[in-house]
Amino acid sequence: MSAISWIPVVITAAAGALGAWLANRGIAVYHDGLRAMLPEVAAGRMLPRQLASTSFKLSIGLLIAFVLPVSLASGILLIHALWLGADLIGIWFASHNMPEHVQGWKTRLGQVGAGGAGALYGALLMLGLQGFNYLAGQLPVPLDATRLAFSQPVVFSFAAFPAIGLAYQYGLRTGALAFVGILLTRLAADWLGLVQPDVWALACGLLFVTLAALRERRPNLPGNELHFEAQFKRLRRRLPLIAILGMLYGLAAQHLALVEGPQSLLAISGGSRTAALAISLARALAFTPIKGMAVLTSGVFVTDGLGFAWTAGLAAPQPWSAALLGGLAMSVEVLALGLLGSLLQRYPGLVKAAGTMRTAMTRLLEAATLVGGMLAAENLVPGYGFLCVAGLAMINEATGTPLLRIAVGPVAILLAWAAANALTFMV
Amino acid sequence: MIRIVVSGLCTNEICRLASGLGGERVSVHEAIDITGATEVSQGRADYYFGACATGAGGALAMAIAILGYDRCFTASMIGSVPKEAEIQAAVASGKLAFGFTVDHIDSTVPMLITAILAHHREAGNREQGS
Repeated sequence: MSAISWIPVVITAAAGALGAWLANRGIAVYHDGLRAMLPEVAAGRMLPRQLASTSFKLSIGLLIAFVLPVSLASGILLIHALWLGADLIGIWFASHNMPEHVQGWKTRLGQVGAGGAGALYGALLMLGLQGFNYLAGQLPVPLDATRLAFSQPVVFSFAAFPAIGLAYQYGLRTGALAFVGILLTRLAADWLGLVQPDVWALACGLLFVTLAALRERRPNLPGNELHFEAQFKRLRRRLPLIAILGMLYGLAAQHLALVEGPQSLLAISGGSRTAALAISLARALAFTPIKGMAVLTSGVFVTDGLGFAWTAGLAAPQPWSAALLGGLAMSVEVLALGLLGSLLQRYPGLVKAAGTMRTAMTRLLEAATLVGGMLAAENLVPGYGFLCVAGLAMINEATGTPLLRIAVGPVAILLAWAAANALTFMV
Repeated sequence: MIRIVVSGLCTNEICRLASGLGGERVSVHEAIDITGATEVSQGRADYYFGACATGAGGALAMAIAILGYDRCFTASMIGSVPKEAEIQAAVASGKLAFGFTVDHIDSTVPMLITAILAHHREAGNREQGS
């Protein structure tokens, strides 16, 4: 049996090339912080070299401390791994070939270089992951046995996040009421014998959030609305490129070559595509306001769009329909931006609700990955897993969290797995 | 009175922490990022705080777009614990918007409030002295 399957390698290489090229040309970047900086460079308030060093500082911690451990522990590539790297590649090439106003061969060479390096990076990333998965399967204690234990807490707790968000925004009573509602929906769905009770519970929670956000609508000071016609026009001109990006992303989703976020990644590694679908949709909704407004103010698109292209691709039954739906979804995202901009400014309740939902998801993920990490580590090294993971996690807290909270679980699993294998060799 | 506007993730926690630390001398309120940054740019608020997963992503994106990069400062990033001296220097050099990671709220917000209060006390002394 061969360890390499080539289709995902081709997909990630193409997505890496396109991502790096788009970042190089300033059309789209993945990192939210970089997006706002590109216009600063164009306006001359920031040097390209400064941008390159800042982008490196912003992304490298996330890549090493979180994205790599999560991808390795689950055996699936988190999209951040590819496109944070592609941002760095694209921006690095751009930082070396911007002699003012000279749009010559050097710029074009930079574009080709960024695309080529992006493709190489994407291919190596996927080959590396497949190689790791293959080796992990050869060892006496396989890694995939722990994946279920790691993913279950995240998958089964996810439906609680709307209630947490409401508790953040409106306090204990609303939060508790929403939580009971979510719980009752899950019970009802279970009782009716529906396939995915968690998805129904999540849908109920999202309904509560929407109702609460709409109740808060206050069409306030209409004269103060900001318009982004120039940026919107600029983005619309890029529509064909963005459609291609969406097609590729949709295809990657259908193949599970790239996964949009840590929660859906764990759902997939735990074997539930439907849960991943629901989670990714909820995430796309929660991220749309912040991504949409950042895109409108900067005129620079997001490499993974607003998030709906991945959901569309995952929902599609075949590769061709995944590409079609992904491309369509991302095109609609661009075309709807103008509408979205005025909607969000007129109803700040929606933006606020999305913000608290992101807070809730982050907090929930921290708790669930810690529990998952503890369970998986205990499975691997009975008697020591709970001790080591809980102990190290709290030492991390006591020292001002040098390790990202959501990284504690995945890192713990990798360490426990290495320890378990080492023990079998020693005994 | 120093007016601080808080946006991004975990606004409740940051507001509670900041107003607890600043007491009478600060007024803290939350707003969505675009409103918050606009308030600072129009002088209706003095400082902008924002938290996100990385410290400069969602937290500062809108502040950078509206206030400009040179008035924004990433106070903490993943893998690097915030440093008191850097924050003091940033406040002293006139930065108005501060981004940090949600993991570092408990350590960053006190440093920022202390630095801002110290900066304003000095500025007040200078005014009285001249």
